[in-house]
Amino acid sequence: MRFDDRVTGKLDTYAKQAKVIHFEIDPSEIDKNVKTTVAVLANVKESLSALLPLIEKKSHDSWHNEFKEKYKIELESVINEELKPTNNKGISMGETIEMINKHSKGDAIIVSDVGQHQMFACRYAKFNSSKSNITSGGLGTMGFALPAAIGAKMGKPEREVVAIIGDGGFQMTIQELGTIFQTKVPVKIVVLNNEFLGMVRQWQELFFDNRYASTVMNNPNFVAIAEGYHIKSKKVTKREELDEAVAEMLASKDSYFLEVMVEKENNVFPMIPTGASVSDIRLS
Amino acid sequence: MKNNKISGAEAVIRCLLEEGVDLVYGYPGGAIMPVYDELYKFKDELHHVLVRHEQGATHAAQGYARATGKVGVAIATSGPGATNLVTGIADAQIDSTPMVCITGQVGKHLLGSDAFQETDIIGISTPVTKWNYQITDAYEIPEIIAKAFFIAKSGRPGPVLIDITKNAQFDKLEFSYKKCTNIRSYNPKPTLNLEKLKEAADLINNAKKPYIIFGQGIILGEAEAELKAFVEKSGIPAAWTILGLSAMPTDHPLNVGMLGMHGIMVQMF
Repeated sequence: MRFDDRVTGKLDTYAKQAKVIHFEIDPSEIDKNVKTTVAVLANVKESLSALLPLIEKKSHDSWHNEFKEKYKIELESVINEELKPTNNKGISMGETIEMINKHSKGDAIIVSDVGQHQMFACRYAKFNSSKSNITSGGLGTMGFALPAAIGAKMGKPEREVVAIIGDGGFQMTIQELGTIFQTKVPVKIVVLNNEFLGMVRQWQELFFDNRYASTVMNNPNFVAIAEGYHIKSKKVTKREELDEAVAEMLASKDSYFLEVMVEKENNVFPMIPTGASVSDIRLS
Repeated sequence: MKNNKISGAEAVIRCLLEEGVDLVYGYPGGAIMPVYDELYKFKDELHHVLVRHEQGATHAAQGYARATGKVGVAIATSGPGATNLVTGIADAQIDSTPMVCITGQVGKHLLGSDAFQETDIIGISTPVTKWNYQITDAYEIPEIIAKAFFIAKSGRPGPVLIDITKNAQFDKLEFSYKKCTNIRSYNPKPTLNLEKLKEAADLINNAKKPYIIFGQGIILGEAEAELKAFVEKSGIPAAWTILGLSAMPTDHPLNVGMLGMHGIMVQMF
């Protein structure tokens, strides 16, 4: 990993007490962001193979427990509410991901676009095997997921490929529905629609006093558009409809478009605000 | 073949086939038409997917590369076709995705004349490609495409753009292909230093609060089994970046979660 700024937060308070061993293939990454104690430059497959016989068999139970304790707090203050919202709230993105997990059993390739839905997908999607999470990380390109899902499905036709996209990003490369129609590639497309540019709106709520500048999205009838491209489509607005809709989507042998209307002003937590230290992580 | 003289455009297709490419994404246009004519002839061996915008071709090529580990290929025409690739190329650059983009370009004699659909895509894409090159003569094609695939795939992968002038696509060359396996002063695979490895092992063995953080390098290096063995033997909790996600099964007992702005609470102390 390259100690990207989203991972480190404020660099002058990051891992100051740690001894950093950096397994890396690109010499320009060593000491670029974080000072290394030992740099092991090579292809990581080679270094880890050579490392294994030198490592003692151990367990770090009490240290591991510190993570588990913090996870319990996260579970109670953030995760449970996201994955199992109280009934008077709208469908959450996290609960939709959980429903996909239930039916995919963790065997699907998940291709996410950019925004809040991406964070929920990466936090909560279940994965049993590698090369199964495809998303735009470093550049954060909205519109990535729809065409990338086409590529993933054509590359791995035996895998289920599910694109998870926000209503904003979907409209950036929406014309690729035409590619799906013409090639008949059986990708599954889930649009999590909160009628906002969600991630920017969250920042406007938290840091700009709820001034929602240009983040309100008036959307077209997405189902009509998908049907215009001859793709089987469904729209879900109620929690009770979700299970059956996701099951039907994953059972389909053809491409399938599922729009899920989600709670409009939900936020992604935990969060480390820009410029903050990793220890300033917020739960609300 | 007794007479090995083929057009530059045919040479492009033959090079792709030699590199094991069977699927490409793209969008035709004037400056790349000779290549598309050859794609038509070779359609049983090399499958071309027509997208609806060149950006879609780059993201589809990326999705293909990420899912399979192979080099994704996108083809576009000159001018706006080429510039529409730039976002996807920049994306592949920062996320280290192996990709080769082939763009048509105006004829050699028109370069620099503000010709129809002419842009300096080499100048524009230089900061966001691992390598790029403009082919102006047919004979250059096999060597340059071989280099392109080698650079895209080796070491830390990345996007390569090859711009081919229209005359180079029409002109004939004596075709023979040799894969590129080494480029002077390019060292994609650093030699493992066993001294450093021993130092690392000592630190790990004596650590009181060891923490493994891993990213896409595990997936790009195909080191998932080695990571799992390391984590299980050392008993060290492991967290991942969003591009490292799925390198380890999400329900592994030592998998402690996601790093980053919206990750778990315990990312570092």
